[in-house]
Amino acid sequence: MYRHSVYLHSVALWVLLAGMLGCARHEAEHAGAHSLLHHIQQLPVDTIAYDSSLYHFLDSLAAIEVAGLPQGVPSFYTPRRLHQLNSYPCSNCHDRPLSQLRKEKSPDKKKAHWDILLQHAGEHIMDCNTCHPTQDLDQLQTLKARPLPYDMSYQLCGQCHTSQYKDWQGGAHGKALGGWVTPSLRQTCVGCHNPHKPALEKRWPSRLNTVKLINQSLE
Amino acid sequence: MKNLKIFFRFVRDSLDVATQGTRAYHVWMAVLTFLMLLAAFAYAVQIENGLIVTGMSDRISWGLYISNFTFLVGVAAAAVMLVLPTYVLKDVDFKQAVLVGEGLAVAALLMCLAFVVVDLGGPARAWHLIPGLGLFNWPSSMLAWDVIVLNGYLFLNITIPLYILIRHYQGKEPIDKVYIPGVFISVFWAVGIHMVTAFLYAGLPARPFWNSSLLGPRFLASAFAAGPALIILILIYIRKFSSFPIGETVVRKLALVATVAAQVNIIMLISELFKEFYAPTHHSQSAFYLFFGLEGHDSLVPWIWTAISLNLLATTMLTLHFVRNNFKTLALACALLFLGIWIEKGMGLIIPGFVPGPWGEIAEYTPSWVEIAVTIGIWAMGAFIFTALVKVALAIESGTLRYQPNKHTA
Amino acid sequence: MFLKKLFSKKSTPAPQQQTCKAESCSCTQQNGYEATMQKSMDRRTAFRQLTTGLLAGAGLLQTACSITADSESREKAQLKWEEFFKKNYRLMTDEEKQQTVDRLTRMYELRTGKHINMDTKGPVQSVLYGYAFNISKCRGYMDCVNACVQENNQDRDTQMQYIRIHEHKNGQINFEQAEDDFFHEVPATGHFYMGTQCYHCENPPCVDVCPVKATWKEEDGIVVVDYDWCIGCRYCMAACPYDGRRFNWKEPHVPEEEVNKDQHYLGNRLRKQGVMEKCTFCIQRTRKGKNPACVEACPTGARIFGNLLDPNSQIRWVLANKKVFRLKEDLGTEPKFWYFMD
Repeated sequence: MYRHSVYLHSVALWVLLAGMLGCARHEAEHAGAHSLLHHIQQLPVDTIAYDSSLYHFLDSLAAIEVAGLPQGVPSFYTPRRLHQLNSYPCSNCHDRPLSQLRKEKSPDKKKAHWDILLQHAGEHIMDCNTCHPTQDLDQLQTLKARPLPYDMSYQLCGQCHTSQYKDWQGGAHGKALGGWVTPSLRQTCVGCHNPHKPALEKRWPSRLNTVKLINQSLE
Repeated sequence: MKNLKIFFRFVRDSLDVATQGTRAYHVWMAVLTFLMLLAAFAYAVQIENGLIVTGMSDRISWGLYISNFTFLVGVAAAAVMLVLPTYVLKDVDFKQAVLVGEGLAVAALLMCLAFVVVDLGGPARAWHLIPGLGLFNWPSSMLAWDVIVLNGYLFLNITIPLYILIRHYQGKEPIDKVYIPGVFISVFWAVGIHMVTAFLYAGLPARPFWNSSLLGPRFLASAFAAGPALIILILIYIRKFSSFPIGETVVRKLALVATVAAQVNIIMLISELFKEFYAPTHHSQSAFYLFFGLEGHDSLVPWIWTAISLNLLATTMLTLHFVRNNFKTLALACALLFLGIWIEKGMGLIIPGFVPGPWGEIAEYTPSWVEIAVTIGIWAMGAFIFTALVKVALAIESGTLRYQPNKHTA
Repeated sequence: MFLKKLFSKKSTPAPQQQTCKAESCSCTQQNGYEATMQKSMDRRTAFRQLTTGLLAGAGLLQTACSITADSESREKAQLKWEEFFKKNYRLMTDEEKQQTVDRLTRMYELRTGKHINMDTKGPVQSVLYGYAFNISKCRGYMDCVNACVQENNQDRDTQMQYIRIHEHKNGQINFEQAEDDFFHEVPATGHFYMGTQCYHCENPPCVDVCPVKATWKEEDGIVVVDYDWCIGCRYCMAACPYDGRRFNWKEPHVPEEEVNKDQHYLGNRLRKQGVMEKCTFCIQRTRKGKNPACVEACPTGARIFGNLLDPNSQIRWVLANKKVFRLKEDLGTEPKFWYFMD
């Protein structure tokens, strides 16, 4: 009789254990062969759009759609560049050739653009004229001396920085503005990089990572 | 109706027995009560200020409480080493001692539950754990399993001895059919509680130190060493200080169990050490921290070497026949073994699991006074419960406490 | 297979309703959000009126019975009582959700005299959030951490932070050697920076281990915590291989003027002592189409966030065109957080 009940109880225990293993943790299916990325490509797609408040944001930045995107790359917007330029149009001052302006230099007149020191690629590769044509300073110029509006300055950068340009177009480079929904809004190259000195400078971090150091000394 | 009357009389008589005793008994219980009150104060401080008053942190998020919980599950499980021979193998020698084992299981389980509760950040919301009332993540969460198996084991270990005692109280023999099925379940259940508790840790790939298939078996081996060691100490004490007849053979047989378990435990320890240190990987960092310290952090090093030394010494002592057969040296060996495993399976298991952290952070853990006070208090509570239970059980088993239908309420 | 199941089987009743709404509005895509919001606002106001009516009634009853306690403290006590016995968020009906939101809002008002907006917006259909982190771009400025702390109302006293920035020496990604406590001009020469936070794993081990189902993965992939259901056992913390979770060891403290009052029930609402919390991808922002605070604050564009199910999203372009990796992929947790380089 006892033998019988030992048998019964051990069966019960094994059933319990089997149940435990069966339910345990990750469902077995996920493991191995099929990854997350494999799945998401087969799922239904829906594109989420901005709500109206974010459209106002887009307006406030006077965003414009980025031109010249390769086939298949989703469109996106950047803030207008012209709105951020203080002394535009340049032709206000540059109404005669540069050589003539230089001749007019007199001690009482302040030097224009004194704060610009070109630190970009090196003098033997780039000077002011690489991007700014001497004839029409209201526009930029490409390496092939074709005029390019300031709002499309990214195309100028993209001439040399091809890999960064490609990443920016796709979305791997450049700071996202607005939200994650469409339409996508991204900072343009000169939004972050000073075109005359594109390298970002070192600075102090805005805070410490943990409590530890503060207690020690720094405050 | 009659049964109910007997039960109430049983409860009243038991309370009488538990509240009366020698002066030593009263002093002992008073000391334990004092410790519990101290712990209650410390716990009030913890409730008021939050777990920040403990030594725990985001880095080491389980400490002394969970360490003791883990160890005590083992002690509770060890009751099976008395239950199995008594009821299943019908070994008459064990019959006198089995209630001591079951009493120990009850006390240890209540301590386990207490340690889990004091470790909770929101003990007031612990009702979320009650199936039906709360929301139970079963079967996915090993902690949910643990709550079930611990409470189930507690239920078994209360009801079975209670039934037997009430029968003996009336001068009758218990009916096998009533309690033997429960005994069989409890035998498996004892193994279950400790395996489930091991799975609680072993199921976490995030913590390579615990994520080992040896953890469950090692838990069992150390439990079946530490538990019987404690029971031996208690039996030797009872033999010496009371007239209750505990056969020498029980102690000898139990000593053999503890010896074999301690030996197996040592083999498993060697196996673990070999794996960690022969070809150390990134996952061996926790073991390095435990045994040698990492980057100057070595607070656990003296503890683990003490534990290992105690375990080795105790196991050697137990292995030698002349030491094991002398009750004085046996008691010493058991005490050493118990202490060694308490360190090894408590702090030595839980803390290194968190060091280094997921991103290599190394932090140290030192229990705060609140944790220590609460821990001592919970141990005192366990001792209090155990003493009371055993006192009543022995009174009934020795025949001094019997149901007297004609006795009037005093 | 796993994900398919996720989207076909809707185990949680509440989000289902939310998603249905989004679906029904999909014809007018651009105004979909507004419509949804408007609709729920109407209902919400109705509930608020109803519940305040009920509360006022209950208050009256109590005033009649008691003379000593003032009505405000009695209301507080009653709100506390009702809060204590509320259900797990996932079992609540929309009505019950609104009631608890009203209670929490009212309790804050009673405590500080200020009003908060608390949202219970559910997941949007066909959205699965993902995150990419460019380790070539991160320069260790820590602006993301500041933004995160402000946005999510983390405890200021213990300086709780969801994000860690690790400074690695060039030539290795070894977190044990990395410096987490750097405070010098950044980026330090010969070093690169790597941010970690909750990765919102597709197979989150923390969710499996929770004994009371106080933490779960929403249908849009965000792993959330019901702060009022958590019992504080910290098992999830032990189970997380990424140090993604934070515990309130004490009553969290945020100065009233710094409290972000745009809150979500599952997101940045104020927490209490003894509960777990974590990054929620700024659920209060992202479910409205915004980027998480860390993405918005990052000055270098190292952080990219988006919908993994939208093949035209930035994040999908990164996954398709850059060489990406995830940390501890061998654990099978499938983090929805990728790292890449220029």
